[in-house]
Amino acid sequence: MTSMELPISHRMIAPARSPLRLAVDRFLANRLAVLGLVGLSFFVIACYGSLPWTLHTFNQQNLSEALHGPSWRHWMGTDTLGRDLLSRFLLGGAISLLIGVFSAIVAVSIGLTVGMVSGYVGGRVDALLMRGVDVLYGLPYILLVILLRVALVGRISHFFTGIGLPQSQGLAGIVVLLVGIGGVSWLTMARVIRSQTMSLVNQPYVEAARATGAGPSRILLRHILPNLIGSVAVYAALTVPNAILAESFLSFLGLGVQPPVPTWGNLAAAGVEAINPIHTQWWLITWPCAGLTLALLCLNFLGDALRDALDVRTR
Amino acid sequence: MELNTLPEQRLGKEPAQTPLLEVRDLSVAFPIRSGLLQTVTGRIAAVNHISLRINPGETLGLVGESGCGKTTAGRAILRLIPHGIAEISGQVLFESTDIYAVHAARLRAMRRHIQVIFQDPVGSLNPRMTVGAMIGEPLLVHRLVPKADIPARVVELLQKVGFTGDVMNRYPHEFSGGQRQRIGIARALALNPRLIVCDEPVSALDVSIQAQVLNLLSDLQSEMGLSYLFIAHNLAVVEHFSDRIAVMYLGRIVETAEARTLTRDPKHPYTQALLSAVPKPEVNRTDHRIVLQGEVPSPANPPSGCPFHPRCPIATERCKREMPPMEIKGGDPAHYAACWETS
Repeated sequence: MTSMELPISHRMIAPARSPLRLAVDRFLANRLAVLGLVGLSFFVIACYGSLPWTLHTFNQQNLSEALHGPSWRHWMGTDTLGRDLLSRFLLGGAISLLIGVFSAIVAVSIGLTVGMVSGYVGGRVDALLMRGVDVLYGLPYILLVILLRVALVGRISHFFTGIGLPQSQGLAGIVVLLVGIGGVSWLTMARVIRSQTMSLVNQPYVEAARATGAGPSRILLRHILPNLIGSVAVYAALTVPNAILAESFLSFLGLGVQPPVPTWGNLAAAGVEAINPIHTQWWLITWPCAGLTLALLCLNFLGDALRDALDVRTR
Repeated sequence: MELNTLPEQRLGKEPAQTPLLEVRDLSVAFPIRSGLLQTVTGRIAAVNHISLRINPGETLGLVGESGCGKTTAGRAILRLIPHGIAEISGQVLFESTDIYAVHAARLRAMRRHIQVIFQDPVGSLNPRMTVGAMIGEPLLVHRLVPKADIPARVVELLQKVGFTGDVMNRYPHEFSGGQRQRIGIARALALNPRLIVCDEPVSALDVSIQAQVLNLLSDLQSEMGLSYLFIAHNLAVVEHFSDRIAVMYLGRIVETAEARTLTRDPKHPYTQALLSAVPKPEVNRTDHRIVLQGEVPSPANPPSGCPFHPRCPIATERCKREMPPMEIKGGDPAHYAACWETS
């Protein structure tokens, strides 16, 4: 052993704090973030906690009670077929959030893989993948989703019927929608991840890993991926509201989830249809729109707060 | 080209020892691509036909100003320049095996013996990995010790660079620049390498910390029998640390000699100018500073003849036309310089 006398103290007082721990602290110090988190938790608990009730009441018709306003019996009122709107609102929220989250997972998986491969391998692979992204950018996403629907809904619903799932048509619509929305939402992600990967590859610590003889998979998974987590988390959090919005928009147009399965988008569409000059059934359109707005607001607060908390520059 | 062969070979003399590392005629050129079709419109010759030798246990200092290609030379010796980015020619013989001639698996095995320490103490450590994971990674990659024994080995390595073992669960952002550099050194030592390429290991540190890190490096050298390729721009640092020094200018080695000889009796005008810029702690300093005129020429468009001639105080017509070869200067068989005008 060398007889060095290094004057720097090596026993530090504070416990080890990981970069993640620091980010969580910063996140929790942000009021809007906490507000967003609380609001979103409220929606999640309400929508998913009520599933046992909503799943068998959302399609119960009672024509004698059609188009009643909010009352103690029906908190949000009833629709044109006398179905309880609260039940449909909660189930619709559950489906919209589910589609949002799963579309984001699909988008992040594709975007992350394409971006990392493109940025790490570079050269022709990179050029090919990025030109593909450019082409997809040029196509209207609604067109892609419609094409996917036409191509897939029949088969998937047939498959679901085959394995004995109820509501196979509605479920197939949901699956196609989340794959479709996810499949068109990864483009920006791929570009962002690609450019970040390219700059990370040139970091000395990645060179040091290569100098020790680490292979590409180790470098990508241990050195590059953990340093991308910040952007991935932020982008995922901002993709969820976009996907919910896309789902609602498509359902509103009648291209998304088909009634009687409710989502906030097709509930709003039904509300718009019910508007007429004689009666104003305001509750039909107000509740789904309010739910959508509040959920999107909470998600955007979360995304912004995540970006601030995980931003490398503030570290 | 005659000057590309090693001096020893030209003189028909066998080197006294088998060198640990021998660089023969190494060139690295980066193509400049432009236009829509990315056609190659020029080349930046970052490293130009350099030859070096490092014997076991020896430190070779590689000095030169910013942009002269010394870092590129170091990366090329480590075969770290990604495939397809640069055109690399020449040989890098590590214990007589050319690292550019071996396949991926063999190269990975050879990497064990050649490690690197970087200039940037911030960028050289992964911010998302604990110190222990980072130092243990090379052991994991090469499966040198059983997985269960890695923590003990990491503690041992940390102690070698002056830490206690309990820092292994900490993250890089909790350390100062000098401490981070020592962590980087511990990582480089993990595989018991024979050669460490030190790419300006102290130039980003405070002067007091510089001395600490340099002392650590030299203690480790005597303890573990390491050889260093010590890349730096500060001749004062290199002078103390190296056995031999090679001076680079615009991608070429212009002078090489024993450290003492080079600093006392520099033969190349560029080395003379570099040495005159080293501050000396003397009150009545009489020697004058040689201030070079002009800028470093672009390596994309190097001057004709001797690359130093546009800035050289003693350049002649011949220097503009003909490239001077590396020749023995001052009758010292270990002292070579590429200059027409000095002997």
